[in-house]
Amino acid sequence: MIESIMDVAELVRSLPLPAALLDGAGVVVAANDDWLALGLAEPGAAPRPEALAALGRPEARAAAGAGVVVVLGGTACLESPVRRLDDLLQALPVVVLLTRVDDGCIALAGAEAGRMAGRDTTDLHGLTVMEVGFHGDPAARKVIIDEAGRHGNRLRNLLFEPAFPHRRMLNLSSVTPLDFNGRQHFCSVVLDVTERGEEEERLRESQEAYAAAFAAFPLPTLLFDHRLALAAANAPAEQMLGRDALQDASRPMPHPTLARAADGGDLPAAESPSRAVQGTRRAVHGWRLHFRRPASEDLRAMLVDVFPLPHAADDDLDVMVVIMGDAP
Amino acid sequence: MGIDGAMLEVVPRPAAWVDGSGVVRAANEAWRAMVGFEEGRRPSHECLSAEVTLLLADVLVGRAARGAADTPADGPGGRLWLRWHVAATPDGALVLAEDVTAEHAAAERLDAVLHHLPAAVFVLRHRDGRLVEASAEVETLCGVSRAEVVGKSAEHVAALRNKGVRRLLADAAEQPGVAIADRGVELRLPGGRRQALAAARVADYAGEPCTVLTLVDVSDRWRSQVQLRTRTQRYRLAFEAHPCPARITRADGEPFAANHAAAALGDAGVVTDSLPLDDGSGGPTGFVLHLLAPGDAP
Repeated sequence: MIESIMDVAELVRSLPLPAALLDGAGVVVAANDDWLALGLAEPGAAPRPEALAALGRPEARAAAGAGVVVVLGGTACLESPVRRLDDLLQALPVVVLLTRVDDGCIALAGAEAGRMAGRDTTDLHGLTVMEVGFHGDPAARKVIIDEAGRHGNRLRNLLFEPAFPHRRMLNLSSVTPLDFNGRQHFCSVVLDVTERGEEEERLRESQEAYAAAFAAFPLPTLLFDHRLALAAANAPAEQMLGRDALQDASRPMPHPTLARAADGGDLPAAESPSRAVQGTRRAVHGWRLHFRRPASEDLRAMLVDVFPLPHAADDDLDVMVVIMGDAP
Repeated sequence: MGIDGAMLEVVPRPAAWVDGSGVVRAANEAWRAMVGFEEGRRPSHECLSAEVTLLLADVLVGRAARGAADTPADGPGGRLWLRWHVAATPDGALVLAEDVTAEHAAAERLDAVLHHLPAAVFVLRHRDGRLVEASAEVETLCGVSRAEVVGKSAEHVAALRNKGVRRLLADAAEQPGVAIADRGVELRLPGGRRQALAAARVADYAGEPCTVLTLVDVSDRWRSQVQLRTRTQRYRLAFEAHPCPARITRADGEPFAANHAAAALGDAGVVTDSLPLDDGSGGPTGFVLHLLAPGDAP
């Protein structure tokens, strides 16, 4: 038998967890220091429901007949790992997934995972990454399982096309294998790089078109980087100058220049049209140069046009040399 | 205060009252069902744990007013973690058991996520500008360990002084709750330059407003994209500047590009040759190069 409400109130004050005794109207009759420290409600006031949420997992039990209730919270509510994990998963601005290796089921998902998949995040738990659509290609998932699952390798920045029904995307995924609860898992970060991927695709297409056009120009044409190392030569240039000479010219400087002085010696810097173009940043036309014929010491006088190719990002200047024909 | 079993029934957790000599004098039904020892006996190490019985002894002799210790226990559904709370009363001590299995599971998960997440994560508390959490990847990307940054001011971490990162944090602060994602930033770190995709969101963490920042190292992809951009630009500029007047179209005739020499010809240019472009290994590119000449050329 409970002697009195006062005894219960004293008991409540002694409890080593946030606790209060409430009357039938929900007003605090007595509370311990832990309760008061949380600022929930002073005696004589009723705690707000949202304030009670700060108690973690509060439990209540009728004390002495109808309307007298002891409310007891959990420990370290705000610092609780449950709260911190939940907060972190809600707050992480990128997609985070913890998936089991053996069956591909999602064990843990951040809020952004639900947003990306177009589903409620809690619905993802227990579904496989294939079912949800994070992986559209079983072969791509097999690569991850082989590399990360079997060999324990971290995988960085893999490009994937997921298979979400609501939108087409390109994802960049990084994966770390880990053992968790006695089972092998993958911890993944997934970034939506659709726009970057589309830009890269456009760049790749452009590069293909322009490089192929360069190769198809009928005039012998050479591209040099800003250090005047040969970066590319088309087939007519290779035919005219020889593969060996072009290979030498593509090595880092200093290397023998393709063009020679009129006596067959090294071309003085002052006579190099490429250096002139780099200095003035203006094209030159009809510059007379001597080239060796392939596998020969014979010289051939040619007229070249040289064009500056300015980088957008810096002051470096690539140059293009177009051999226009034999010099008169 | 006289505490008996009936009074302890109002406590919605397993609870017992132990007198000054360490003997259990009252327990509620939940305690009897879970701990399973009788009133009138001293709890032994087997019933609780060495840590909890020592804590209880400390409270009973006045060395501590209260305390708590966690111990594992076997439950019907597997392993449980129980937290034993002990608090002094005028003539003994109250002992409460709390099931903290979920706390331990969450702690393990949180630890697993923070140790293995392939992204540097920083949780920055607004109240004092200190970092209250970080992932292990911070060390890989930024060269400082998790232990070195947690508790420190954001200014302490070089990566967080980066202009792009600071701009991102400012943008996130203007839209609380919204994930500001995928900003490319270049980090100048003691080990060299690294490129990362940064994202941030302002949200509550452990009950306080914080900003959660992630940095994913994409240096390898960045480098390959820079190389691709450089190559593309070089070939595009070469095409545009080339003295041979030329146009590129797609296979279906849709214009793609024309160079300066072709533009100079204007309407006077006529196509002298059309070459389907291959990718260098014989594969079609889907593009055609049209070489032009002045209309009155032979």
